[in-house]
Amino acid sequence: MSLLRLLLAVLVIAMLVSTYVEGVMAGHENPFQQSYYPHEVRFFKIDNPDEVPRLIAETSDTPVVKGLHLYLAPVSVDDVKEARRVGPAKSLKTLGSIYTVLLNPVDDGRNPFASKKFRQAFARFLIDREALATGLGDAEPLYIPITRYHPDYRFVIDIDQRIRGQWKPNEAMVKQALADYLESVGGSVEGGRITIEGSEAVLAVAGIEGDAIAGVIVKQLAEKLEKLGFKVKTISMEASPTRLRDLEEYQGVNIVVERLDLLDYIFERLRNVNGIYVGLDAYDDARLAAHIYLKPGGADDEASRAAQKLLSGDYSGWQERMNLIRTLILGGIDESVRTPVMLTYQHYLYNDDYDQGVENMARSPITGPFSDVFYRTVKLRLFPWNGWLLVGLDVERSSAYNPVLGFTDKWGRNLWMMLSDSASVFQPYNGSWEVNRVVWMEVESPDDGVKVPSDALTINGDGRLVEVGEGVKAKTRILYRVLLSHFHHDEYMSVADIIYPYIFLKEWTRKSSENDAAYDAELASLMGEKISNLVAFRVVNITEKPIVIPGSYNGTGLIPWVEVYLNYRHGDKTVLASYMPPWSTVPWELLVLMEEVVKAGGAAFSKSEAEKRGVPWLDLVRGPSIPLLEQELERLSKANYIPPALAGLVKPEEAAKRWSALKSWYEQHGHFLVTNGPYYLSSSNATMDVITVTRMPTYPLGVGSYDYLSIPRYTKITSESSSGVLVVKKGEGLRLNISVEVEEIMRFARNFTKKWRPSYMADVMYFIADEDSRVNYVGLAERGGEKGEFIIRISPDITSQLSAGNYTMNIVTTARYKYFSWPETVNLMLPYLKSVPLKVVGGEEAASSGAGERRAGLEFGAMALLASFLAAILIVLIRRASRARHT
Amino acid sequence: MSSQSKLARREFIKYAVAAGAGLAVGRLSASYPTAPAQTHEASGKEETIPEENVKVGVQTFFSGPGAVVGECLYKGAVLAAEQINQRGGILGKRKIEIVARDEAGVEQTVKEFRRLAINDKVDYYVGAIESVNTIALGPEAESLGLLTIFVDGGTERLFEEILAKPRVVFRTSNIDTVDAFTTMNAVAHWFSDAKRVAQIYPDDVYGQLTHEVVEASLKKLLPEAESVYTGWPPLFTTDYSPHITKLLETKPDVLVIGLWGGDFLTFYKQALAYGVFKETRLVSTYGFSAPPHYFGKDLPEGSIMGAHANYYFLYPPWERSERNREFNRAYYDMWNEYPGTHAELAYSSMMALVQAIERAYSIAGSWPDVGEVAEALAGSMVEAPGGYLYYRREDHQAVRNPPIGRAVNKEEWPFPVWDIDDVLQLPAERYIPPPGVKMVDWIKML
Repeated sequence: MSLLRLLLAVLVIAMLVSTYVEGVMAGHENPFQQSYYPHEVRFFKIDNPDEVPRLIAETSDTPVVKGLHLYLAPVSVDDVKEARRVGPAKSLKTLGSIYTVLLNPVDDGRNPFASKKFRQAFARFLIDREALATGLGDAEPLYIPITRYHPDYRFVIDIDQRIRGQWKPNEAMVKQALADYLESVGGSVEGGRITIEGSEAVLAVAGIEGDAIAGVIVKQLAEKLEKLGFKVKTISMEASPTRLRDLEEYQGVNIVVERLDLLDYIFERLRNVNGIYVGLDAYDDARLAAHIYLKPGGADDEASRAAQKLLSGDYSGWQERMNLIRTLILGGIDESVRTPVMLTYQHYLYNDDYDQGVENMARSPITGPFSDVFYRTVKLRLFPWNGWLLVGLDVERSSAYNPVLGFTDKWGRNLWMMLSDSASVFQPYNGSWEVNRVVWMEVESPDDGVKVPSDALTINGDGRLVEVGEGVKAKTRILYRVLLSHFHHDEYMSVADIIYPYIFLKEWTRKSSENDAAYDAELASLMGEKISNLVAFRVVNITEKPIVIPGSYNGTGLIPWVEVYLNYRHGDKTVLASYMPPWSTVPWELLVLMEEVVKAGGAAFSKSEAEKRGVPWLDLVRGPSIPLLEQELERLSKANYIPPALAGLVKPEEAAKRWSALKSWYEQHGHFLVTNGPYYLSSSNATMDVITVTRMPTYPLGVGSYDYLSIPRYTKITSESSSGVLVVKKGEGLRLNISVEVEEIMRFARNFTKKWRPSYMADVMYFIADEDSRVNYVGLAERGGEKGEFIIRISPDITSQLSAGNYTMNIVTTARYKYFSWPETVNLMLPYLKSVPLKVVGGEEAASSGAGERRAGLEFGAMALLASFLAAILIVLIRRASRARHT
Repeated sequence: MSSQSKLARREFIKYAVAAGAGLAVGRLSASYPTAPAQTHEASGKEETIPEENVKVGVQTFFSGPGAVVGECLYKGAVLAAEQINQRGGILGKRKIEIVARDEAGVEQTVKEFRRLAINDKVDYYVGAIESVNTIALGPEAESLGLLTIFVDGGTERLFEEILAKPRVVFRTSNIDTVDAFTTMNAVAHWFSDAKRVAQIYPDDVYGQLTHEVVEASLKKLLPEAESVYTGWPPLFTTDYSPHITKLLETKPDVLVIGLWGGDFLTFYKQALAYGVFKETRLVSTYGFSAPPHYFGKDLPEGSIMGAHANYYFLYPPWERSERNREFNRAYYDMWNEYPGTHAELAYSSMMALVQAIERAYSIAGSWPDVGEVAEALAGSMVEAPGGYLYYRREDHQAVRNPPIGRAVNKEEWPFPVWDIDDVLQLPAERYIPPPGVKMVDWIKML
């Protein structure tokens, strides 16, 4: 690689970068408000939760702003009732915890759970999930480890509904399984008591310390076991809410009631490093199912192999994912020593007052208010835009305010979602990742890899950008459009800002020596693999986009088109595109400033590294880091420092402007937290953080950008054209007409209602499952002639491949959304299932099929081709809509 | 039909409609079409009316700030379509199908407009709120030959510079500058003792234009009043304290505000907190054009609240205007809320369109083409819920007597409303400049 080529590459980028045209004000009212609804948000701790209802009732914005709009701590149903009695409170309902029962299979000759048959009988016919849930009120029975709010539930909905019908208390089944076990170990039942090898059979059942729900489950199990003849000893164990313990940790216990708190489980894994989400599978229900069903580390069975493929993204398309999920769930049901029994809910209070309340909140049932889109949709009722949003928390802030590895506690996470802007954000209704500031235009991962252009840049051992050269291949190529904007300190973003994080990560995740000052082990564990999978990147072009607020602002925004080459594949393209996008939510000079302070030993990026090195956790807002940052800024500013990797890419005058802007920011605001997010930190004291909206004309998103997610809509099948059992002869086609209705949102005054209407805004998936729940065929229905009408066509080719016998045609509908003219984002929660019995007969049998059975009509067509075609259209539409929203 | 005979027919419609409109004005009886008009006075013969639905493209803001006024535009149009369809459709035969599209930035709005015309093949268009959009859509509509009624987008420029001689483009909302002049007439009427007037405007064209008209009006209507402060908060201001401090210093007795939506609310709440309205009376040029539920009861009572010089849901009073009462009842039944200005404008636009189609048909005896409908619409008068609307033949601009009122809190309403016993309605012929005349020049002529 010649130095000349390197300089040329950098120069090309530099030339592309320098085309930003300063906007000029002219004048006209603006039909688009940049950034999101409230103009100010206050985060504060509420010391006494009992005060919450009163605070909600007292909320006012004049003459002084006071009260509460949202309380970010879960409260009980009784608390909700009390709050509603006192004032205009309502609650957001989210998933709380999953309770599971672990049946320890250790074979000590006296443990009946060593018998798979007894374990299964116990899990299916002894645990009375319905009774437990009914008794506990705000809970529901759970049979599989994927809830109806998870996106993959649509793939296993038939399995769940089948076992819900089958798993009913059945003492005879349990007794039979027990008798078989006792016979195998020489045990017996005498006088109603079980003895094994002459001594009374004793079972230890563990609950969770201080957990009343677990106590109720333990009680039911203990009573039932005692009724069977066991002596039961109950004990309590400490909960580990973010993960279920390994089997080995349960020595001497036969049954363990466990609890997994879903939010903690998710946020233990999900991190945001400078605007890039890490731990993308935190929301993945396959990971949840594997965690509950499988041994850590996996085993050599079908379910474990399926889980491995799911978690590593080693599948192509939703059909394969469906098969893998079903394999995992069916395997878990059959083999796992752990069985889910109950799902509980949590409630978060919010202000529902006619004037002072909030509305329009897009929230996932899985994460509730804890998501970026929540803060990008929440709106004060009285204000079309603007207003003061008051957010109360139940905790003190406990993490440092640094954009790299800070904001890790509940307070910080919520604050950071508003202060920063991430490349992509979590889509609350389908488990995928939604374009935010980095728009993926093309994603390709061909089996034989992609050739990396020789002029693409990579980072060499010295941390410099160099051309990758000839003959380099990668597994994936992604083309992004990056939506630049001004940073809070009024400097427009540049390509240097979006490239520098790669250089930064390369440096800080690579340990060059034992005492490497530029290494953070926590960062390495989070980002090391990702950055090492970055093969190269290339700024293909920088396009200009006029930013015109007619008559008021005439400027030009720049949109870099960046190709990124990865040695990484994933079956979900949204995950792939969110893996290592070219993005930073802070300016390059701030990253450099932080680096220099950390390198000098004044602080550490992560809490763990800070503890290891005995230095403060880097904080850009308060504490001992501030004077160090101030001194270092002075030094770097005086030197007009440009990191070597950016030499040529950043001109000295540009660097000078940046250092000066950062200094001015600090002088004006007293902290260093400059981002390109929709809000900035305007004040922070011991008890409150106040953030203020930044309605900069160059900010590419604005009020209403995520409103299409505010109110989830659902579907239902109102009719299908079979009337009884579908009968089809092998080698003949089949056609089924489906009528689908989708909820339509009717907004009115300060409220909304929903109406069912026939609509095409649905995805209609169908699959033919045999009596063992194995899927033989899956496809998407096509649109019919009438609104809401869909047609399922099964070609003769398909039926000829089915063995004669009984099947079920499962039809699952989910809602789509409309953004501008295009239908797009799918709501996969609460899918609707219609199951139709299907009988495939041979020629002779067909002639004598019963009168009550309906013959399916003949249909010819290439179903597989059609399904692929529809899927392709769907992808194109989603892409177009994403682009439209982010232009 | 040959082009020559078509032209002749159009000429005939032009004069026949003009005569009809004159008659209607004369006896003040023009009203919405309530029954299909199927007589073919001109031809005297039956001609087939096409069976298929009439598609009307409706474009408005469905999200973001514009949705404050945009959603009710759609709702008004849907209500009109529903009412027409309930009586069998246009001419009792052709039902109306609404095809809704988003209005957004200019580029996106034009794309969606073209999609309506070309892909959806709409027959007519009713919509648009933002002036910059109507300026872009107007020439587009003319070139596509799509009969277009802009509900708003009331910039003077549209029919003075961009489309001086429109063929198929109409606009229902009063011209934007009428807002300011109406408002200042209201100030002269209710706050005639005003001596010290302060003004706060967004630093944009709307603000500058409003300021220009307000200043001209002050000279004309309140020559003794002085302008003590004019604040120009930059776009996207959320902290108005510098302006509020100035207001406290200058102690105006009247404060004219050109801010709207969330900006207006943020300003008045901050001003309220500082006690500005203890001594100063609030005047808003645009405030009550949004649906009434957007306002809280802490809005100072007695404030003059403009309604875009077009329509407020309680006016004309329901007890003396059956049409307005019925419109509000039907709207509330359908949408569970009361209409904003743009709901009535869209509703009236739809009714004007249907009236024009039916009138053109009744004269020509066959389903009219776009040019014939345009001929019938130009110069027509409609009895809208808010009063008579007249589409000027010269520039296709509708005019109506602009009303304005003052805020009051009433127990029966959960939001502040106009004091309906004390509404000022101004005669259009005096307060709206004739075609080709700018408002500031018109004020000087008065």
